[in-house]
Amino acid sequence: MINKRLGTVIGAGLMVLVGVLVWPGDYGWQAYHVWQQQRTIAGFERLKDRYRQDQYGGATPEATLKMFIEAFKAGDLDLASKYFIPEKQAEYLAKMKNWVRLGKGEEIIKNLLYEEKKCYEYKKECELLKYNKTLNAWSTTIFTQNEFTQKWKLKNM
Amino acid sequence: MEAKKYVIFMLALAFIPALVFGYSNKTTHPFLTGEAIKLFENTTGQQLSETEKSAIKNGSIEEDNGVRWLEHFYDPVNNRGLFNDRFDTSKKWAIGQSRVKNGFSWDDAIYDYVYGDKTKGLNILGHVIHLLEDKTVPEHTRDDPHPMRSTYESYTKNLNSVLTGELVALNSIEDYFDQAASFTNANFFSDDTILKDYQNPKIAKEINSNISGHTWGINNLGIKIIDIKREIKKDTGDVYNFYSLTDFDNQIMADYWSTLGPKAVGYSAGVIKLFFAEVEKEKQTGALREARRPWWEKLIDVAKARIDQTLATVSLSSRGESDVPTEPSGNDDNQTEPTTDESVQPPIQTPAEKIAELEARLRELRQQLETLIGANQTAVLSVIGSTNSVLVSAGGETIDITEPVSSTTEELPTGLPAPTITSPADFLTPFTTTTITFSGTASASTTQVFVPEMNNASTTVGEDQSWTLTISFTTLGTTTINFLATDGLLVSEATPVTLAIAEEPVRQIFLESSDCDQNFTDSADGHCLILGSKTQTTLSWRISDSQEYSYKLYRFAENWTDYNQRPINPNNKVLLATGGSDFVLNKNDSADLAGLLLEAYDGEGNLIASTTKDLWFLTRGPIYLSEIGWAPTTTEPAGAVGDEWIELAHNFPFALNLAGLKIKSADGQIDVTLPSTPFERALNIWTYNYYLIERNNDGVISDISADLAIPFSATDDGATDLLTDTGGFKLKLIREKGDGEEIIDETPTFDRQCQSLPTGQVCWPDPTSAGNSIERKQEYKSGLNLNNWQYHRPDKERYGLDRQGREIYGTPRQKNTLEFLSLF
Repeated sequence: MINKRLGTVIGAGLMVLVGVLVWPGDYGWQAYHVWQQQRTIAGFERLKDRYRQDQYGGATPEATLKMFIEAFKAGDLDLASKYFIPEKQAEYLAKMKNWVRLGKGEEIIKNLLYEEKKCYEYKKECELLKYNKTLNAWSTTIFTQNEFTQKWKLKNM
Repeated sequence: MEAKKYVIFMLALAFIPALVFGYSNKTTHPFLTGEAIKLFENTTGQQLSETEKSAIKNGSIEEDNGVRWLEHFYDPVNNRGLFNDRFDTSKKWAIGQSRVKNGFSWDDAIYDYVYGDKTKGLNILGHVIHLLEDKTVPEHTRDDPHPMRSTYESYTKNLNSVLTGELVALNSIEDYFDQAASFTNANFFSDDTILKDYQNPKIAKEINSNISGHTWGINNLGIKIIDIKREIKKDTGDVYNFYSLTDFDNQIMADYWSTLGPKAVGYSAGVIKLFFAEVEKEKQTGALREARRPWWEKLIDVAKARIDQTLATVSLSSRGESDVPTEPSGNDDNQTEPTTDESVQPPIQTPAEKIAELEARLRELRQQLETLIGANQTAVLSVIGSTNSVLVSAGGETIDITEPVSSTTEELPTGLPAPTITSPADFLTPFTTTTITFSGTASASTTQVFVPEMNNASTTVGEDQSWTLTISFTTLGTTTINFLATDGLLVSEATPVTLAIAEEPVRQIFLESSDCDQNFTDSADGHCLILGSKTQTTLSWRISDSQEYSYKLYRFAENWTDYNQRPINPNNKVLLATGGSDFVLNKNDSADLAGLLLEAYDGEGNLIASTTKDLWFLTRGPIYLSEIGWAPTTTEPAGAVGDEWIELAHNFPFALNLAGLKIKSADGQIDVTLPSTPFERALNIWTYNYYLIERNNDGVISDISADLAIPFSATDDGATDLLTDTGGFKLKLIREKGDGEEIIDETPTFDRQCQSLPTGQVCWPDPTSAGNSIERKQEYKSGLNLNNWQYHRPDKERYGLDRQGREIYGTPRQKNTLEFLSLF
């Protein structure tokens, strides 16, 4: 009888111990997941804020392109990069520095000239294009409209 | 309490609008759901009331509330949710197996419809249908959150017609998610996963578009899935294929919608049918209700069984047919040796009386248990506690009243400071042990520090806020873990630690090029500067021990931004070479950097060592003369004689060695040997780092500390200006090489002849009389070009005060007034 009672007590003790050990683990995991969730939301919010605060660009794609070319020609690459969508500013700043370093600035400007414009209203995107018949190829500059400021931003060139 | 916290948290997040949508929850989801209901009614003949239809449609709208969209992704190829499974798959979310409690799962819908509010049940069904409809959106099956805008979502937003589909009948809700997601993933692209990340879809053939220079890519189903445009590269003029989901007349998106729209309707109609079938099944079996009974209610059944079992034994004992214990208490001594205090001694019972009393008590408890169905937890546990006491007396098996560990989750806010780690102090050197003890401190209110990635290894925080945690790592190589602190309610931000564990002894792996400059960087630190406008270099590799290994060489970065900001991951690793021991690397035309990763594998394919190296192909020296404070003017104030300074700059994301460098003037009056101290790194691509040399002492610029204060030559007494010789001056940054010297950078000769040149040129003496500095416009252009230099522009910002406290017309240790004045 004593052994049986002792066994019961030890068993109950072990169960409590397991509970104590398992609970913080489970708790910690859940807390980590919530932290991940909050971190993700914060990341998206930061990106949205960058769009909200972004005042660079024109009321039309053509106006934005003009602003970009002026900054690029003046050598103010910091300013020129700001006409791109926020996610691509650093990427294009690096590219522009390389272009300048390699002496390709004039060629870039030449290839930004356009003859046609095509817009996709459903996705607030426009392209300024020029067709090269000899190469059967296009030179395209893609713009997208910032939904918060309505300014047109460079997306790809 | 848990539910309350969950509600508070979700309410707080409910005001955060979603950036990432599949179909629009305002237009497309209710439209598709309405079409699905119609298809269900037409196919099965079962009609739903307008109230029921509205409930389902509303559910399909509400599923996007708050941050629920984080759980709306399901990549069936890798069985992962959003961001590589940082969040659960929508399949788990729908069937109630997610780590975060859903509250609107498939089982919830059936349970509420059968046992609670039918309208609520249908509303929850609408939530599940929303999730399934999203499985016909490519972004949602290809782990592509595509923040801000998606081509397919934008295109479908305002559509209000869809081709008629067929109801798809499957056996389980899981099958619906698997089949819908697999179909979409395998046959369609999303904006950011075109021909990458997944093996499918493949472009089975190309057909001519009606636009010159365009073709359409067709998949195995004959659907137009991609526009392929011949595009001219703006920097090289080369023609390449540009892939896009956007084409001139939207034929690609039309094809997507005409295939995926009916699928969404067909699967959703099938789910409605399955729902009503599951409802009928639940009414028959009650399986869901049984599974959802509270744990304490289930204890009642256990208790009844135990009592019945014990009663049977006790009854046998009362008839003398069993040897079960007849002692009601475990204290044998009390029973055999009565105490001397007769007045408090209970009446002596015979064994038969004791058994009868026990039996009666058990029957009484059995009756009490019958009345407890639907009672609260406290009441049930009270009776179970009494039952356990009697069972012990009867020698029966007791009932475990421990609450099972819950699989649901509780949402917790954050706000505590991250814990700090004080030991180990060095995480750069690989550890030679797999067991590492970490210690540090945490904020006053915290009680525990834990590491989620290591199975939640945790430790308590002491009264002095210190903590120690020993972790055993099971894998070798580089790993990142996060340390978090909690006070039991709040959880802190994370302190991430990246460390590497090497086998004992530490193998050294070498990735080398004979073209690497040996002075500016130490080859052991992983950086390599290749001077002299080279366009290719031969790399070789080896490991310090004599074993046989196979190697893989990858490139993971091509420009400063990649190198500095992107961690190496499978998506940015480009395999350059496998096996062998050398490789000829060509400089990429539009990049000046090659970030390389070398991995070594043993015979069993285990990664045993890795190293990185970044190669920079340079056309000029890495350090340049940036600005010269020559100070004097025709009206130089008294006391300013000799107050000259020189600024160097570089833009590399690591420190450069100055050892062996000298600044000399052409006339030999200036000869400064630079010290062997490091020239620190630039912080980011936007900035440069500067090195300021002041002549003779640190007071030349009184409010900015010099990196080096030194006489400009062995005989320099500071009595005269050295940069105003009548013949002009020219500076060179050189490195001594054998008997000669290697020019790293140099200026043109600045002389008085330039006085007649146009405005903006550098002239001597300064015609403005302001004492402007001379600053370089572009570091990439030759320093020899006079047009690449200018006076500090007096209309721009200036920094620093001279020895007399007057403004310096220059920017010592700061960015020049305009980094680039003109390009061409």
